[in-house]
Amino acid sequence: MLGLVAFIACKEERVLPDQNAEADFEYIEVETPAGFPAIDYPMENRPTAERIELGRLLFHDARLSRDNTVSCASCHLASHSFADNEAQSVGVDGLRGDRNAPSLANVAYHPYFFMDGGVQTLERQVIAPLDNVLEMDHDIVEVSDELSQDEFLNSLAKAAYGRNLDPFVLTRSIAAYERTLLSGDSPYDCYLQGDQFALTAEEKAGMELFFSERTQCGSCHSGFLLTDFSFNNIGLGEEYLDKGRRRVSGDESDNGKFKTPSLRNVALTAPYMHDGSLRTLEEVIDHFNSGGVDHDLKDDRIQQLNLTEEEQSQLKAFLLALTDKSFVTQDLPQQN
Amino acid sequence: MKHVMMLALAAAMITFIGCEDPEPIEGTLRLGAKAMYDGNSMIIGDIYTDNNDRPINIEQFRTYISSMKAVKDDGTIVHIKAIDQINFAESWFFDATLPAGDYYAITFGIGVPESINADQDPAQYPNDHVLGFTGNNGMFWSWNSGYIFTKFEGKTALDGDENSMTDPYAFHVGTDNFYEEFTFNVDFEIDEARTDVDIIFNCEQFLEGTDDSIDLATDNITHTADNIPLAERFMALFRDGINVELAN
Ligand code: HEC
Ligand code: HEC
Repeated sequence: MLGLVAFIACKEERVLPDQNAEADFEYIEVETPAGFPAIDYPMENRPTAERIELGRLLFHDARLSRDNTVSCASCHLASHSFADNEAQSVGVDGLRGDRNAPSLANVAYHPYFFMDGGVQTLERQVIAPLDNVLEMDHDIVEVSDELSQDEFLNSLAKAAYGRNLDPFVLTRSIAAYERTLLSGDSPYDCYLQGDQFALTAEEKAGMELFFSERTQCGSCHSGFLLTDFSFNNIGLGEEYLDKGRRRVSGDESDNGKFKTPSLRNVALTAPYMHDGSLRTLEEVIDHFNSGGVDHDLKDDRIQQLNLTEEEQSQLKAFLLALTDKSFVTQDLPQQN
Repeated sequence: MKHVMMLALAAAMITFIGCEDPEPIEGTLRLGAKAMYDGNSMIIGDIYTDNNDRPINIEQFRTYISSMKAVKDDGTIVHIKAIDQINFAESWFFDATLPAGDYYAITFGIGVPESINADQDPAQYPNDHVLGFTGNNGMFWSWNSGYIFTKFEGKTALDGDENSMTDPYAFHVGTDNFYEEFTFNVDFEIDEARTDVDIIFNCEQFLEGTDDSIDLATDNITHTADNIPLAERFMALFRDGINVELAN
């Protein structure tokens, strides 16, 4: 019988190409902010200087879009913590999608991507905006072929991954760059590191409110990224045009549930919510204070809070203290 | 006892022959796939009559087929091909070299097996691989995890007028829950002559079966997650519309 097994085995096809040709790369240590855990890099895409540099260039390269007008950075601007200030960002031909662009700060730690959690890796995520007709509307194979003609980029691709600039290199390098977008140097972080004076009295009062039983903000917005990544319906309307999590789960009970977002740098990413429907942090606090609109699936924790004017200002002051100024002033390549 | 001896002998022979020189004990299986409509070959774009007496055409019918294997009378399972995509706008077959002998079944999966579906990505394959960017031919959901297993779409005329086929229908089924493996009994022998076995997809049965009937006037679109009940109904009918037969 053994003989037969061997015989069949030699007929097995390889489904996956060999990924073991990685031996010669010089891996680097990317420094993580104080108090942040280590990043879990995919084995095939551990960071090297070339990978990050190539990804940085591609992220800012408008040739990724069909008409050369839109780059990743058009909707994910460094100055806005890699989000933008549009309710719905503008893609090729001036078209708008239906969701608000989120900040990419600390995406290295996200367990899944998109507000409905449909995509599991940062590498895979890159494919979606590229072929979305409302965003870049391009073909990843054509883009890669075109960019591989750029001698400089292609030589970087070879140094980074030992191959020509192809969809593998494109998705890996952009993800490698995104994993370096680490932000953890806000006044709140300094306070956590032991600097008692990093927060004002008002900000501290806001922090206490935020993590209190009364508001329960911190039960969803928990941990070092101020999110537990759970999907919740927070009563933004009686009907949700965008079905949220249900779009990928197909489960009725997921109607209007969206990923709880990180609140780091939230002051820089107005407007708010999946559809950009709340323009300011005041409007957001108003929303939570009122308990939102009745909806069968609204989370129990979203209840009328009866916060005083002063308490609302304190909450807002705390949210503003989550801004990491050094993160938004880093040196970035020009967009072309 | 005699049997055991024979088996041992056969095993020894095969081991001896190994991968280098298998020629005296092999033959070719040509595994094909055919789409039919009411007993005739289905032709993309042609107008047929659906279960509600309305005109219907099929503009696109594609499916992933995976883990194709043949089962010998002695129970040995022989690998044929790991994965392919069938586009019913073209003819599809695969020639596999199998050990000679008597076989009684063909097994295969419809869809992409879990281990290479949700957590994988097309960039890991050469572009023209059936799971790669070009080779998947629009059978990959970029905003969701995984591949579209089966696409069956086209147009009908709800008013019955075949000169204005303007009402679209589309069944796009995927996600791990919908992956399914099938075993069909079919007796065949592998020897010097090529043996042809066909997987038949009877398209008219995708809308009408013994237990259910899909009316395109009301149930005409699913991308799986947006309409799981319809994806389930479609797959139950689809499953019953498949059979496997010896072609020669
Ligand atoms: C036209 C605007 C636009 C462009 C261009 C764009 N994005 Fe986005 N991006 C968005 C929007 C809107 C979302 C939220 C979509 C959702 O969650 O469904 C998003 C989500 C993301 C996410 C998920 C973040 C999270 O927290 O889950 C990542 C990562 C990302 N984009 C990276 C990129 C990269 C890389 C590119 C370039 C290849 C890019 N984006 C191009 C608008 C854009
Ligand atoms: C039940 C979990 C939950 C609780 C409790 C909660 N949030 Fe949220 N929060 C969310 C979810 C989910 C969203 C995104 C909703 C959407 O996009 O539709 C969100 C969005 C936000 C946003 C907008 C972020 C952005 O980038 O758009 C802010 C600010 C915010 N919450 C602050 C708070 C504050 C302050 C409290 C307490 C008063 C609080 N949250 C309580 C789950 C929660």
